[in-house]
Amino acid sequence: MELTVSRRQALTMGAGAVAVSALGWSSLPALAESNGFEDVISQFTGGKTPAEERVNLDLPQIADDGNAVPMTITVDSPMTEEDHVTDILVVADGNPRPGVATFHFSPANGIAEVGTRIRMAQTENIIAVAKMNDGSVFMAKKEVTVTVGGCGIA
Amino acid sequence: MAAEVKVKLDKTEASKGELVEVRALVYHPMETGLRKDENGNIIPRKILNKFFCKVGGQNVFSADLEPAISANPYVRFKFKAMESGPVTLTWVDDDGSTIIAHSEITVS
Repeated sequence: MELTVSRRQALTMGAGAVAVSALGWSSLPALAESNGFEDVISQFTGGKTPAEERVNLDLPQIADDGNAVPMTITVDSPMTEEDHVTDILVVADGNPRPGVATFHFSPANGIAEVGTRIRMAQTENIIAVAKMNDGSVFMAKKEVTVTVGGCGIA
Repeated sequence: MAAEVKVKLDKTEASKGELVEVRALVYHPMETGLRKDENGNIIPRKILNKFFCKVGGQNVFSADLEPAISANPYVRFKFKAMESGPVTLTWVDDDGSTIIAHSEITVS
């Protein structure tokens, strides 16, 4: 094997190699460099750097099954016409592709909260970025240790 | 195609301004387009890429979904009860077809 392996890749490779050979996954997009999540965030924020506040990202510390990891996002906002969340972007930095979902809110929600289940290919960071009606952006980031990665994730 | 959908509101009657929680689950493989079959051929992507919820005709919540959303997508969100009416949930498939489910909220 070529020894152009980062520390992060080396750490995940042991478990990854077993899973990959078992599943017959011939290509390894997840073990490439960045999957481009920075660009997705930057496009969403219009180049602004989100402050790490107001967003609460609830994920398990350890997920046994990467195929369905429960996730809840809440954003501290009064959700009035004057001050509300308009969108929440969710990306994963270690999936083959960065995008997970974008949720759209309005004052009709009364509260900025959403729950769903996501696929995670490996131990990686999930990043949630919230955009307010005034254009300001906030974020939260959380690492989840994934025991068995979600197979065939994109 | 008939798809099985489960929709649950935490309350079917609410006072005006009260928050109502919607939980919905739709049976769908959310095929990512990265998996291969036993012959090594890529299984084409087929996911529900969009979800939206209307209450009394007004859009209250929507989502753009990627293949990183789990199979049998589940979503949970809230809306502020303003007037009685149908709660309509729609998912849009990659092939252009839609899955639609209904519930009802009564506001007093």
